[in-house]
Amino acid sequence: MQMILLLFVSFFTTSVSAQEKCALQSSFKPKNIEELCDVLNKENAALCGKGGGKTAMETLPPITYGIFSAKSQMTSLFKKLESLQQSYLKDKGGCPDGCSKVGAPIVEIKTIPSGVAPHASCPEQYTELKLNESEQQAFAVGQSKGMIKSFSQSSPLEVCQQKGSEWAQEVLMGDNKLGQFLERQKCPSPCSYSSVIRLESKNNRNSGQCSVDVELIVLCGPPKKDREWKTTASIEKGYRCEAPQ
Amino acid sequence: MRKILFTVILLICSSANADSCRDSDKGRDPTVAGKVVYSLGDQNCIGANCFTQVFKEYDRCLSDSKVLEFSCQAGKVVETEQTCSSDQICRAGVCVKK
Repeated sequence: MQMILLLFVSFFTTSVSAQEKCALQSSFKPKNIEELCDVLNKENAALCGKGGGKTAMETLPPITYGIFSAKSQMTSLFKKLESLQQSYLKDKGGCPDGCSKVGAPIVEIKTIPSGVAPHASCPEQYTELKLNESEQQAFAVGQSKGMIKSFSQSSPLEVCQQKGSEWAQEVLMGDNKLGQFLERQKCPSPCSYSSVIRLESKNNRNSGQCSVDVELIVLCGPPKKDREWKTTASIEKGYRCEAPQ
Repeated sequence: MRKILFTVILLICSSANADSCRDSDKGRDPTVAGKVVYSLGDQNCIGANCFTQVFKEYDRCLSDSKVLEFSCQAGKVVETEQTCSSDQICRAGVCVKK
């Protein structure tokens, strides 16, 4: 009995001291603390939603192309990204029992013109447009890397995808309030937009409900000078384990 | 035969990028401040995530008498330098009366 009690007390003190270390040392050595917290999270692997592995960025060599070669260059770039993602997921395995799926490593892509015509009213470099909290509320959008809006309804997935795409196109064209706000306040003429529309589809076949999250990342910069672009792409090698929905 | 081949090629080219370019003034009118929104390549998907790269350009003045007009042709963006008439001047991407 004494032995069991001793073991219990010793286990309790170890785990408490580990957590305290995490808190105590955080102001001194954040990098080491991150590692320590990572270890604690991994030990607690039964929890869904925790990171499934240490993240690392892999950046592909930039590609340069013109408007007529854009389609093939882009397709080839995405094939490379998909292959990187697949091999990463294969290497790292899955999630703990009880977690339903492995989220995809995050892809980041950015395209800017090779040559620009600087203009006093435009940022010198292509810069991401961000909305503050009151702007997010006013336009009913979230803000992560880009502006986020969710579409959900009782329809086939294609309907949600269509609605999401239309919203993004309307914003970019300045056909809705958010689009007009961006044109007037954040990136006025003659500055150019370089943007990425990311649609994340979640199809729940059992309920007949479709759901799509749209992320619209808009970079504002000087007008372009020629018809050539440079695209950089990278993949953040991490994955998420999510609770079944 | 040549005519048919030409038409087929034209049809393929125009349908490949249908709707991937939108022009606010639907033409090359230098007296209207226009803008275009166009895609670079098609939508590409990785798993449940699909990405489209989109650019937006405004018509702009190249000098006091010249405007760079953006328009769409067969789903592709087209740039044209246009000269304002002698009684006009280019201001904010539009030819206006002097």
